Amino acid sequence: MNEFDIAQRLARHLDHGVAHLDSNVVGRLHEARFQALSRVPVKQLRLVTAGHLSSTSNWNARQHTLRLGAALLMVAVILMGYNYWQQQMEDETGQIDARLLSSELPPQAFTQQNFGEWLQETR
Amino acid sequence: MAETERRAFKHAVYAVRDEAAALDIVQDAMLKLAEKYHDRPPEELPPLFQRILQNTIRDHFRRNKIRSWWTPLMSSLKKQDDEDDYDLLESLEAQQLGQIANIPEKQLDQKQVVAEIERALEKIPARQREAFLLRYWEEMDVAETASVMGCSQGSVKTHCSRAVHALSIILRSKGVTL
Repeated sequence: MNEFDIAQRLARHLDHGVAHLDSNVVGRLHEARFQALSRVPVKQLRLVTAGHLSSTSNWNARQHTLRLGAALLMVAVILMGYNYWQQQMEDETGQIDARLLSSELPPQAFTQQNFGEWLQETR
Repeated sequence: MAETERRAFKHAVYAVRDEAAALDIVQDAMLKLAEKYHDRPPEELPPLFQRILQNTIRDHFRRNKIRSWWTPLMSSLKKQDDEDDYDLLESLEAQQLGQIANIPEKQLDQKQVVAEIERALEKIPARQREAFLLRYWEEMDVAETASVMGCSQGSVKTHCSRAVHALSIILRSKGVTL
């Protein structure tokens, strides 16, 4: 066995030692890491947790994309709302037409000025 | 980071031989990394962390040295792990033949082997241990190790070679076969 092989074997044994550390020690290390991470500015931390530490220009580009995405989403919601409202209006008009056609009164009666008052009186 | 912090803790334990002090050292190193180098690209962070860790270990010894200057009694207990690169290898080689002959063959389990290796690591000179751990455990190349240790690549190779040789002799004398 040469020097490199011996060193490799020793290293693997040391890995085993690290994998079986005392839980108190692991807890303290965990705590220390969080304490250290709490000192990192929030902007950096968000990027680290996302998986990569990008440069400031990348961060700005990402912010821009996010804003654009949000604006597009808002436009889509408004369009969908408008479409829904229009459909509702069409349905309502269709129903009124159907009522008018099935009514005993002629359609002109509904357009007369006194029709509203007459309708209230008859109720 | 979780794996790195555990290894860092072991680096510190092998150097200072005190778990509480080792935990403080790792915590200090993490805080320094987070405060001063958080804006560095991720690939630069592992060697940077190692350099900070090794410097924090050296600071620990410096502080202890100053403390022991005030308390002469303490100095005699602590001086063994200073950076004097005494030739452990020569003394080990001189002793090894007789020692190995006297050690009975024993089957050691994994836990015992790890414990023996860790004890052996604590015995070898600090610079050899540092070079060995960075080069073979942290899997850094010679140039990176030299950069972290602040020495030449030739020194790294020498330290590594002597460390592996010394560790093999110590372990053989304890009946550990790799």
